[in-house]
Amino acid sequence: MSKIGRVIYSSCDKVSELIEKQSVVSLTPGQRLQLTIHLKICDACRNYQKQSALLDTFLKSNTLIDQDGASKAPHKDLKEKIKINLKDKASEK
Amino acid sequence: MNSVEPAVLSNISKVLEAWVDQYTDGMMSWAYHKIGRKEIAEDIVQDVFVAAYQSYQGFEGNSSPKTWLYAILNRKIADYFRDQYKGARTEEDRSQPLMQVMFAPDGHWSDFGKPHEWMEDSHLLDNPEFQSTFTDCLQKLPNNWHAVIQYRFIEEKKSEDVCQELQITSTNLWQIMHRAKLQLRKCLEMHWFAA
Repeated sequence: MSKIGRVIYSSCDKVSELIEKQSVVSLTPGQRLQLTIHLKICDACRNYQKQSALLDTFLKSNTLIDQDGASKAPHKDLKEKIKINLKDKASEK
Repeated sequence: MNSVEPAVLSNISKVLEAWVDQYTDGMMSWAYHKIGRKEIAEDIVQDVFVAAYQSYQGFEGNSSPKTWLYAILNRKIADYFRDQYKGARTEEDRSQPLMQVMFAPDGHWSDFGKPHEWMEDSHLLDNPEFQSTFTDCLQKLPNNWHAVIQYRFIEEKKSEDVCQELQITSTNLWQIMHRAKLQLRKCLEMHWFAA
């Protein structure tokens, strides 16, 4: 590969990192170029980019289903457990 | 709590027990919202009451019980998040196996890791079955990645704030997001989009 080719070409693993990196810090112009060019020619990474954005919307929507019933009040068992623990602490003195 | 008379201790216990009854539900709701893990939230809430018992003499009447308990709770939640990152050099070191599974040695996607096209569906988020699948996939993430996601997305904190509170660098942050998304993506693809 020519020198320019080596500078511009980036592998999929690095590209997937750049996609996340740019949501945290600014990319350098060189990195932005690598990203643009790679995404034009790589289907898999284009899919990754779309799916990464989709994951962002899912994560933001906070539709976490509370499957263990963690926010199910009243937490009877937990309260009992805490009280017993406190009693133990009191009798330690 | 040395040299405290039994009668005083007994009063303190009574007060604490009343607080357990009154504040546990709210504190669990808050802790679970922040942490996303039931058992961990429960442990932390329990620790708060133990800490309150041990430092009760420092409290008396200086603020409302609720304010005081929640201050302890928030400190313990912050400690929990920071502990997740203690001793970790870089996320690079810890996630080598994941990268090797998702990518071939030459840097291309491996057969296993390669993203296939997903059929887009704008109503996905309204689908309870999808929500359930998504939650399952989230729960499979290692604890400390889950914590980052909570901060970044649920709380919508800015990158700088997330980094400061978790005491990680911005490089750590995007590396963690990257690894988490690689895993999440694959999980969703296996159990929903390509199932």
